[in-house]
Amino acid sequence: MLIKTGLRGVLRNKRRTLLTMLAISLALATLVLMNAFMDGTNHSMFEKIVENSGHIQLYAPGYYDESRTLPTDIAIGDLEATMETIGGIEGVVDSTAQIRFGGMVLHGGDDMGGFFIGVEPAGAARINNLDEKVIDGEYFADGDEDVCLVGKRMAELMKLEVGDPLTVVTQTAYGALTAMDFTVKGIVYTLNPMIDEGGLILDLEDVQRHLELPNAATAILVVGADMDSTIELRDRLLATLNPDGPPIIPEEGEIALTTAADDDLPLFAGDTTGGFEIPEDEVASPTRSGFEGYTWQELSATIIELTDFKNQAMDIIRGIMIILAAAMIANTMLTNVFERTREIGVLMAMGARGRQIISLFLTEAVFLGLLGSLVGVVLGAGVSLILAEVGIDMGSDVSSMISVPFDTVLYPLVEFTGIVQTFMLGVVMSLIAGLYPAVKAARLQPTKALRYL
Amino acid sequence: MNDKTVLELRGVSKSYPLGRLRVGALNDVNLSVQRGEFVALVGPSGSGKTTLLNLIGCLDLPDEGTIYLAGEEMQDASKRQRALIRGRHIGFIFQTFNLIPVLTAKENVEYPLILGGHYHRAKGSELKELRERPAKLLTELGLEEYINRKPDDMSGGQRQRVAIARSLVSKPDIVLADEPTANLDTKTSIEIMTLLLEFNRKHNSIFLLATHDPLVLDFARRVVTLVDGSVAKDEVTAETEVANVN
Ligand SMILES: Nc1ncnc2c1ncn2[C@@H]1O[C@H](COP(=O)(O)OP(=O)(O)O)[C@@H](O)[C@H]1O
Ligand SMILES: [Mg+2]
Repeated sequence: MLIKTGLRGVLRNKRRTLLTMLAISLALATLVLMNAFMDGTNHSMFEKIVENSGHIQLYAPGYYDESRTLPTDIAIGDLEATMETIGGIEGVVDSTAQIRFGGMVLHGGDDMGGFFIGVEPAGAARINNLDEKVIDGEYFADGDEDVCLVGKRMAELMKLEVGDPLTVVTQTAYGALTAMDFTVKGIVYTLNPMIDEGGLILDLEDVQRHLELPNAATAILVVGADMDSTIELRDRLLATLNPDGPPIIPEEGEIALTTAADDDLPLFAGDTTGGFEIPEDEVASPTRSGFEGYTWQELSATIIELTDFKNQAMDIIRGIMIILAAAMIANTMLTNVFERTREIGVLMAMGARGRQIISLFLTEAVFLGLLGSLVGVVLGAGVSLILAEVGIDMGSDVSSMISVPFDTVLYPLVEFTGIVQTFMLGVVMSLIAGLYPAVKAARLQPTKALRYL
Repeated sequence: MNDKTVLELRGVSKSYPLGRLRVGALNDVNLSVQRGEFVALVGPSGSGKTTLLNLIGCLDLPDEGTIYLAGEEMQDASKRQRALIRGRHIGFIFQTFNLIPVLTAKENVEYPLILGGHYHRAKGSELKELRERPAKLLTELGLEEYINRKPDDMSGGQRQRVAIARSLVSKPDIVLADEPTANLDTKTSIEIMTLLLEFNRKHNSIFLLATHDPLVLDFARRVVTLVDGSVAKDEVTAETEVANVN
């Protein structure tokens, strides 16, 4: 009965009720939409990150700390056997090796600093979808030798076109200066600013040969079953790959010297016989035994931090919206209490206790909140779903603008739990907003309430 | 106080704040009312009639003096206790009816039973009787066709009859009516007064009617006159028929 009176109370002033519900609905719809946008951007951003980096990256011990300098002398050796081992580890779905290095690109009198990756064409196509990123020319094919894919922006800057020759100047893994000639086979647009702005993608085999890193790589990308449980997979990988426990990272200046025969580690490119004898124990091998591993979350810590920051900023906006909606409810309920002062007096004369008056008005507030929230989340989810279907074009320069891998078309992501949470938030907010007016009603002095006209 | 005295006021005074001053509304009122009495409370406007009913009805507390309801002192009762007393022992009838517009006649009459938790406490045939009581009461008051109507669809007389049903539904010991006929025409007023008197005889409850309607005086068995917050006259105008009932 109290509930019935409450519900009918809500319907007393239809316009005010409608307006209040509209405010709640709009606030909640905006919240749902905002959440969908956030989740959508984060999801697509994380997917892009994972597409670029795989779930886990394995390096030779000490590589990560030096990774900014793109060292080629902290490499994983015995690559074929290592890849086979990794492929057999539980939870590993796929893996591919890379060599990353830096240097100069020369073309037609222009030169430019660049970031280079040697990739396994098949692996990069599977894991990084690199073959799909070719916007001009073609992807690597069998029998190719010394061809490269050029980042879109770099191609523009260097006026490179498919078929053009270019020269890469860099150091071998042993520090010897080397120049290598490549032919542009394709132009790529990857959404990874490192590559798009100044990157060249080469065939790993060519890179191994030119950098004197046969059967070696600087990074192995591993993909597991899902992008969330990466830590477990990383731990499993390292446990298998480092059977003797975590490798000791050599300090600077005490680089491990090869003791093994250097037959397959020539000092100079193309020199397999060795011009003159160098004492074996003085040759610093670019490969190291043992592995270190990082999850994509660790590798993109700054981006994830940025996301957290963005989420916090959103929380503030969310808070403001909720407060606005709450103020609307509180105002409506106060007006309600005000208008029905006399009726409250009558209820009190009939023996209504404070608690009953409070629950009467709270019922009204919660009813407003329930209905408003329901309409709001349905509206918000509906719009989000439509936008998720259609996608929102953010313009193509967003990616380079914020230098974060970012899809140009945004798809809001509608998550059921998030919607339920928003709905509950709306209802709880109504309850809290209705509390003050309800208590105010219950505190009225009955004789004063009855005299009220 | 003998055991027939349900209501007793001793030295009751009440004043209201008016800016920095206080306006005296009641001044040293002594009154005792026996079970079954039908009392008219008369006096000019502002003489304190409403104030007196509010104090008796536990809606407010006196500044001085004591009110006894069924021998219980009201001064020390908590807010909650006074709400319970109102719900179980007192019925109010107002000049402006004060029905709840969103509820039907039956729901309005039912409301005090729900607020007082009567339905929760009753069981079996008692509960059945309680559930049927609002409709029965409305039928007795000639409102059979209006049971499911809302107040807005009713005339003043019909509304006041619903309000009377509401005040009587929990079988109160005291019914307090503040100017119950002021908004009604003479014919309807006579009907209403007849109904009230009938209930007074049937249930033996106290009726206290604040009024300056001379018509009400024709029905009253006792007339208490208030002037400037004090009892100026208290006379029995007809034999209370309580003695004849039991
Ligand atoms: N809640 C109140 N606040 C201030 N003054 C009041 C209040 N209630 C009554 N009064 C004053 O007390 C006096 C008695 O009023 P009331 O009991 O309403 O008289 P009556 O019902 O006989 O007209 C009047 O002067 C009135 O203005
Ligand atoms: Mg009055």
